[in-house]
Amino acid sequence: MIKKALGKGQADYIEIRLEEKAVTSVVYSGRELDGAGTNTTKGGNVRALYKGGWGFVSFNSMDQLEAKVAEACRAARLVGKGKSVLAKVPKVNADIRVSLKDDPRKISLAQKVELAKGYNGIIIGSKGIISSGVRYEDVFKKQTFANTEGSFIAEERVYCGAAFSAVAKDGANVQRAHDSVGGTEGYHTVLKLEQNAQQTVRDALGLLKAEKVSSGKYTVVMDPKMCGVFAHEAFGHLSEADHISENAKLKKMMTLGRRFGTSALSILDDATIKGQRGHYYYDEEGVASHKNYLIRNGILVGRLHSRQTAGRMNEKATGSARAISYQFGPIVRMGCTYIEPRDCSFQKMIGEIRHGLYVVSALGGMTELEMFTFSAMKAYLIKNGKLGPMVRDVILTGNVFETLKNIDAIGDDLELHGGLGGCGKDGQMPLPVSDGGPHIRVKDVVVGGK
Amino acid sequence: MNKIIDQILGLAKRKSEAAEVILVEGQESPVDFRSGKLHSVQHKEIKGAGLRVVKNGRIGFSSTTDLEKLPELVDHAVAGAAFGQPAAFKLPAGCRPAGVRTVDPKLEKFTTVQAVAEGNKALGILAQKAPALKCDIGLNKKSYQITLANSRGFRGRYDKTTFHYGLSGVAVINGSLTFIGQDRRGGKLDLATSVMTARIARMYHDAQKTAKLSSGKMPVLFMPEAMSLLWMSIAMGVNGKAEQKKTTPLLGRLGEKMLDPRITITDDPLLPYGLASAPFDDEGVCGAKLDLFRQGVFKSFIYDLQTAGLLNKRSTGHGSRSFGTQPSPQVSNLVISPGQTKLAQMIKNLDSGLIVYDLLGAGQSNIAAGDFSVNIGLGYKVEQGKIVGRVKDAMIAGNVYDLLKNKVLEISAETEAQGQYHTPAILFDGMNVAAK
Repeated sequence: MIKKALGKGQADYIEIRLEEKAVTSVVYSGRELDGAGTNTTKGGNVRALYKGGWGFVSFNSMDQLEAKVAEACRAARLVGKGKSVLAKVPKVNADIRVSLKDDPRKISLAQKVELAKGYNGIIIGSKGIISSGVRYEDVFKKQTFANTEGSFIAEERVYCGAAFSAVAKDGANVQRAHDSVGGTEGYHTVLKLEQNAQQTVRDALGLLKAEKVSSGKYTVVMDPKMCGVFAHEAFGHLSEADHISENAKLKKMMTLGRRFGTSALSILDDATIKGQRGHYYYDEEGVASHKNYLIRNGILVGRLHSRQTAGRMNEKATGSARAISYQFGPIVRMGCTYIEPRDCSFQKMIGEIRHGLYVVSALGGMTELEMFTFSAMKAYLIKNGKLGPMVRDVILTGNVFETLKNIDAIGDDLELHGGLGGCGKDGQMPLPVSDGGPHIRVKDVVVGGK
Repeated sequence: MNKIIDQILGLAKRKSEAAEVILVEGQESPVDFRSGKLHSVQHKEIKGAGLRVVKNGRIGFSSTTDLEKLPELVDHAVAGAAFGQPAAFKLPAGCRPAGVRTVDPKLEKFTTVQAVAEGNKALGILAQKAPALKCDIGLNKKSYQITLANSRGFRGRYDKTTFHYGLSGVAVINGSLTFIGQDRRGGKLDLATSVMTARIARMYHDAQKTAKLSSGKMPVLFMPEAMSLLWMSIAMGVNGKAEQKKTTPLLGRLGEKMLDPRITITDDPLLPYGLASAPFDDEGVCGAKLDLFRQGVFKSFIYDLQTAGLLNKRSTGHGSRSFGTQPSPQVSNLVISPGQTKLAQMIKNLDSGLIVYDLLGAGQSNIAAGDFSVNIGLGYKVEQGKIVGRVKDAMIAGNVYDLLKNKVLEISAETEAQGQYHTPAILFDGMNVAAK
């Protein structure tokens, strides 16, 4: 049916993607179970390329696929005014099924509710905590892809994760802490997380007593989570070729071969790591995922591409064209972005600092081209090589290129993190991604307290 | 009436005490220009169903876009009911919908080719009048049909069209990024290209000079574009859910003078071609005009079935949702009463103050309490009735309830639709402005 429909289209290139998805979630807020249940979607899309312009049609009913192909071709003809260029990629025939020992689909809703209830009980039952949040979620997704070059790919993915939050209050002082885990390994990802729930409580209570940080320049040690946010938000997005090809200033900044850091620094995006939330076999253009070095030994060596951006820049496709659902066409995205570990131990990294900050986990951040602002969930002062008291309201700001140059120690303790949320771009949110790194040390970071 | 609906209800009735189905079928055709070039032409069909059941007194919900697997939909909803909230309502058996115009035949005939042509026309005008501006344009036509039915016999269906037309541009002016935009959303084909481009051209022209500003208290004129922030806060305040959770400053204030006596705010789901107009709400309750504030006096919260039930009230017909979510109370079209003075006259009368169009960072304020502290994205300084230049790096702060009660100087005679808010411009006295 799909092949027949593809054969009828009139364009330079056409692809069809069909999707089936089931999302099961359990949400506690405070003492109440907000809801538990399963929603399903089924849909598909046709994307056609004509003279460099894309036409896109999405739908829920699979009837009249040929008419939908024709509609996408008509739309592409309205947009196309130039030349169609797509990077050459191998034709693929693949059928990838999930086989997990503990597939979350085999676990009953009652068990999932019981699990979330237990974690929520730990948080809301703690002294000093006024509000809690626990979210459990699993997603099963099956995608079928075919294009006019003869590729035909079926791929299943299963995501499973949990997120915790705790709000502590003392008078007018209100503090929040959170944690989340998530991946594609199966249900055991969300088991035995009592420690995480307890740590979230300790963090919220700890923040009540923490002093606000004094603003100034610090030597900063980032934990793997903050390191991951830095790698993804501050640097990763600059490596997305669709941004680069649209922005002359960025294009100049991101010239391959340019030195960005010491020879110890390597940053990569690797969507091939199994079990990670950002793992996939094929992207939404049917291109196999790759281990893509962006910076290798301090030098900019690569960037992330769709077939169109790769073709236009005369580079290789990287398997980075992703879409959150059948309602959207693929755009250039990350998978699992991290800084490669080296050999510095955490003890040595801290031990060499006279006056600094250890920042742990990010609350959020903003970037505008090379400038970034990240807020840490919590931080600890470092004095004469030792960790000191917790401080709060830590906001790191800086220029990503200067910051990369100032990384002077890279740890040996790589951790990757997926969580439950995801990345947002061009209205497509949340896309499952992972990021991480080891502990890293950065000189001269501007910290703005409140 | 509809096979799918009957099938779902039939299955659900066997497994639960009460059931309600919403079916949405429709399509949208977004046309997008980026940086002055046609970027994409899309066509999106949407077809999906949401099922709410009550079983053993508890609410269960599920949704799907796979209308070939209806037994699964019912099973999911029933399974969820084991963990759902206790139902505090009875589904309505029916109501007599008032006539309301929700479909624009002209919009139904509007094609993507015409949308592309309209976008190109706007680009042509702006290329002449605001040459440094890099423009993004979006034209999106939606048309859909909503069918609602429940196990107590309610059956309802209506068609709806909406149109969104957005023009926005960015330019580096005097070394800083300047965003200028205009936006139209409503139920009708509203090709306001000439009005929108003329406004953008004027704002662009006025932004060429930068005005000096020092911190202090001063009158600030909120144009309709900026008033949305204030009405959003009021919409949260009148929400029955906020009453139930005791998070609204309006709690226990029914009948009290909360706003300036010149302000009347009416929720009108029957407004012809309004963005949020509908003959009945998403739970089958027929809505009608409802004064939320009359001459400043707080008259009513808004409720959906469940929230009303929990508070021993009646639904006001404000249950709102997509097929994929459970209902919650939301305002429909908010119509704010106009004032006496023409907008142009208000500016002429302004001795020294600000005009603001665009406010940034609203998400970081405690909007539920009415507090806001925002950057002025696009605003101008006025001296002796004339715009003297754009203000940069300035913030304004205040409380929505305080402003609307104690600081209203003048309300414009003109009103304008900003999405679901039909609002005049309002001049406020003595606002806190901080210049960096």
